[in-house]
Amino acid sequence: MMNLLEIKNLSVEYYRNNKIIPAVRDVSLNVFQEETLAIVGESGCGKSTLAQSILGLIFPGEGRITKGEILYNSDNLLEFSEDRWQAIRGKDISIVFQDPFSSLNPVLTIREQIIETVEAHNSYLSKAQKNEIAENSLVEVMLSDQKRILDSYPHQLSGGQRQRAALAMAIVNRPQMLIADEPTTALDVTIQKEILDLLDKLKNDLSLTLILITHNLPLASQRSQRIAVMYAGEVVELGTREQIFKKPFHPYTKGLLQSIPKLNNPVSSHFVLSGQPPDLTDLPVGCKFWPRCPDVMEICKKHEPEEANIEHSNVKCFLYKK
Amino acid sequence: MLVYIIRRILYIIPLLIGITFITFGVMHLAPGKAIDQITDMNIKVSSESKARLAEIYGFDKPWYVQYFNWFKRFVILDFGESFKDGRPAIKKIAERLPASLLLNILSLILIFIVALPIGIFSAIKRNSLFDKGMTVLVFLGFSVPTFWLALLLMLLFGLKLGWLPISGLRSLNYSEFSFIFKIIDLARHLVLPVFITAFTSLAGLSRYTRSSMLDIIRQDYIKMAYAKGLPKSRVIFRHAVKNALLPIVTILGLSLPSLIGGGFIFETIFAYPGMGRLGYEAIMARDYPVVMAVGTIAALLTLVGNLLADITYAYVDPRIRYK
Repeated sequence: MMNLLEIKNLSVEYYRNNKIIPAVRDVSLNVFQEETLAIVGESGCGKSTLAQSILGLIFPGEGRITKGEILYNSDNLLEFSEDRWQAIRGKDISIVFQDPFSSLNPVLTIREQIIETVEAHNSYLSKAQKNEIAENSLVEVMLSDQKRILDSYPHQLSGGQRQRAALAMAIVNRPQMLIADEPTTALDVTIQKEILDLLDKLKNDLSLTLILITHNLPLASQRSQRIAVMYAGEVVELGTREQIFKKPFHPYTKGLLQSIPKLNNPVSSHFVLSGQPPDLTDLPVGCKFWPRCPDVMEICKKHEPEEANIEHSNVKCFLYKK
Repeated sequence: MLVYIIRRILYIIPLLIGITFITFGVMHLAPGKAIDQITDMNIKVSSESKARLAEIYGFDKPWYVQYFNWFKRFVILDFGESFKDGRPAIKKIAERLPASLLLNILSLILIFIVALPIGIFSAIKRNSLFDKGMTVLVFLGFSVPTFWLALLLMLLFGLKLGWLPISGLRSLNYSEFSFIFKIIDLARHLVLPVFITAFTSLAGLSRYTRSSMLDIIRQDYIKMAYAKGLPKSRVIFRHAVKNALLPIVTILGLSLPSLIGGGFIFETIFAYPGMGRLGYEAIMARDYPVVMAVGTIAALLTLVGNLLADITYAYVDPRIRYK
């Protein structure tokens, strides 16, 4: 399969309260054309930062990319000028944010917000054409009553409608790749499935390559072909969903899988991953997971594990060091 | 919306009554009466004539009775006559209002023209040299005493350089000028007062705009706007500024009373024929009807300003609809 996107040794820092937070550390990842790759991890593990790096949305003052490459169709995006970034954003790569209550501008109508996305990349269209494109995009995200919704402000719509409208903005320019950053976390459970089904449908209709970011491992396994598990800014395991689910290697992935409550299990046997996610400003020496790891060894406390390749999975753990 | 506006207007009535009641009471707490200036230092005035004078002006009754008498006339929009010269208080205000309006509207426009860009660009270029320089500049204006700056500038431009007149609103021979020269004469008199008023009040609006912008540019929808591939200028001006300026409407509404208020000391220094000087003189003379008239009109403008701000807010922010 062809690589559409390849991330090599990417590190991103964030600044917060005069502290430097290493949000993403030495992440390497590839995304195949037309696959769905899920990035899974606890909140604060750097998955959203990783997603925003792909679109160059880490702004000076907020943070910066310290090293690495992001190859898109074998062009290194990190060497792009602002103009070239603008040409890519919303056209080749789009993003849908977690919370449709905050990702839509409250003082612009949906029509204005969709049309400006079209205009940014097709300045030659007539007003009627742009309106038609906007309307069609709402049909594609299965919103009925398009005319009314186009002239609505975000606050007049429900959460599900807003997320669909945000999706319409993301796909209106026929991107190759869509990044969905926790697209259902802020929504009601009943709406979540609808939005995920819609993502699947759009992916098929438009031959999208999808990066699905979630903290929900079961959801990731249902909707993706491959899963990257992130912990403390690193990808600790990357494998196919079958592999991750049936034969996880990294102790963290194992822990996550055991934490999933099962219908036929009594609650009392519910496994809980002990300890807290680490403070990114004060990471432990060695493997970042060792203070919570059930299989910790002496070497883990001193050295960082290299990525090892085992049965088509990439794992960062000394248990699998050859 | 109409029902809302009517209800808000009805709310203004009890508020206004409360404000005038308190103003009247506070005014009477201040030592001295309007008649003291003619009676206290004059040995020829007997205590009988003093009492007679007090009776004429109604000072022999308790203050709340006096307030009630004032209120009876206020209801039919009669603000009474000045104790000083017997002329209707409302007439005295009408004479002074245009000068204050002229000065304060010009200053307000200047403040908005200068402070908004300062706030917006300081936020975009946060911690840059421009941001830091502007912070120093606006706080300099904020901290410098108005009267001191006024005197210094009068000294420089009025006396040393002789470029600008130092007081009043018109030259003595104003009536002889042609229309064009009348405008020029007014403008020359207004330069210093407008500049000083604007400079010393830049801080509020520019800092407010800056923090409002800083808050907005962190929002998801700004990231989203960039993610659509919009150029930075469009993200800033269409997405950020539009949202950041919504609260500014409230500030504009709240600055309505300052349009007629003006600085008491400031206008006195410039011998500027505005409301500020009128109020100052009235307070000094314990000229109750004029003080009350100035106070009531200022209070009314504040309340109306608030109402207008709320109505405008509903107009510019689609999320707000009053029921």
